[in-house]
Amino acid sequence: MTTLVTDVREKPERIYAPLQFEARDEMPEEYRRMVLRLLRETNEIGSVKVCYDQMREMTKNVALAPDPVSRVRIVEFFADEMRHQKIFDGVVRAMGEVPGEDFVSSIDGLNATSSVREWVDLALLNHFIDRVGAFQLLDYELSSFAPLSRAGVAVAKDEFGHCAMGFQHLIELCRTDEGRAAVETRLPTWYGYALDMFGTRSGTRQWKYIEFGLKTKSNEQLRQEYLVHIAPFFDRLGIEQPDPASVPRKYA
Amino acid sequence: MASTTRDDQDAAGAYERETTPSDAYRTALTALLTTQSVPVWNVGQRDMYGEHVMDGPSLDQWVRTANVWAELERNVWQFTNLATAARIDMTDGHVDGPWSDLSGRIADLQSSWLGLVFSMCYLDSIGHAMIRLCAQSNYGPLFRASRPGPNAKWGMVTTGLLSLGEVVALEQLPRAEVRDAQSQSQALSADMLRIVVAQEASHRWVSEGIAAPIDAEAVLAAAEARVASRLEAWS
Repeated sequence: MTTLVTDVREKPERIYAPLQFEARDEMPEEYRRMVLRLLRETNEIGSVKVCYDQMREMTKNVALAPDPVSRVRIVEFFADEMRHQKIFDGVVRAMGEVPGEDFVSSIDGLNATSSVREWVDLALLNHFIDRVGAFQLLDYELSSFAPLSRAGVAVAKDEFGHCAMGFQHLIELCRTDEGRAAVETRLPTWYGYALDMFGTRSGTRQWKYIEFGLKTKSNEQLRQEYLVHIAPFFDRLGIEQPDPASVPRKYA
Repeated sequence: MASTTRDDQDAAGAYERETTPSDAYRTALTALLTTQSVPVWNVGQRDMYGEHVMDGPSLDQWVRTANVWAELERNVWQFTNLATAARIDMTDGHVDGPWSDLSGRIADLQSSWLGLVFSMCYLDSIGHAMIRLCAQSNYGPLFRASRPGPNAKWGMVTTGLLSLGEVVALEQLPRAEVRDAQSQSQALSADMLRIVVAQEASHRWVSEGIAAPIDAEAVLAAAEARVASRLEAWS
């Protein structure tokens, strides 16, 4: 059960057109900083040590796969994510920046990827977290920063594939009482991470992103779309969709 | 309903797992599949990729190796299905057969990222050649596998060559280390081809129409020529 939440203010008019800037173009300094911040928040900048360590950690998840087909899927997922690391790292470098060790995301849901120790966590991560990634990346479709538009749509397609994989694994887990219990126990944590990933309702940075045409939707607008989109998946699992206020949240 | 003629039986894809014509045919099929298991289907090699996938010297190399790892996992899974249908025992991705004497050397080669690169260049070249030999196989599952199979294997080979090319162009690793790994994989692939030829001579998969005969010298020469072209800048 979810309660519809609306934005705290009107969206600003965008000042830059879709696909207006390429990576090497001259651009206002504040705009450039905002682009780099968005790229940093992907947590997919492969040459940065934190990202390297997280990917290295992810290789261990292969051993969690309960059957041969799941193992194939997880390695394909890993290969996709590794390619994403190259794509976004490449965009940063195309802007003439060399990402430093502090070029890392502040988003808890993304950094929680390293905490996966059980198959159920990985399934929930793919189902919830990768879906948030897909939502956010698709919002770059009409971005004023052309590389983000191109990469966003391509990577979002992969992320939706990862969501489908995660959901498949959740269905399989829920076929046993033990598996269903594990899903129900761990679900609130990952759902909470996912809902927080959209950012706060009142955050000021989101309006600047929209004004610059980097994004088109507010944090709350995307979160509400996500809540509607994901509702049928709870139905199919036979699990009641938790109220967003009832799960662990950092930005409730 | 038309009757089945001898020509029909020899046609590509004539037999399925339930319709193999004789015990001799099934014996030959089992021998071929176990011989293919390592070079074509990468059985027994998954863990090394998982361990060394990010040991390469650049982000580009990690991406390439990750893609080959995924391809390799699909290969092993596909072989599991082929082997199960042919009643071949597999335990944890390993298959008993002609490779037991070389398994230590294969593992040794693949115990580093550079070894994986040369494995793609040489071992997967052998696998690429072997799956192409099933293009007219009268065993349906192999006939069908021989459609996408060569592209998948060739993708692994070219990835290895591309990775080696970058190592050379950017001087990513010491030359002596690269040459040592090359020598090791050359010798290993020559021995692997000797095993394939010996297996082919002692089993009947060619006369049964399951696979065409291999030209081992040509396969090795082509693999060496490809690797040499990537190392040319260092000669």
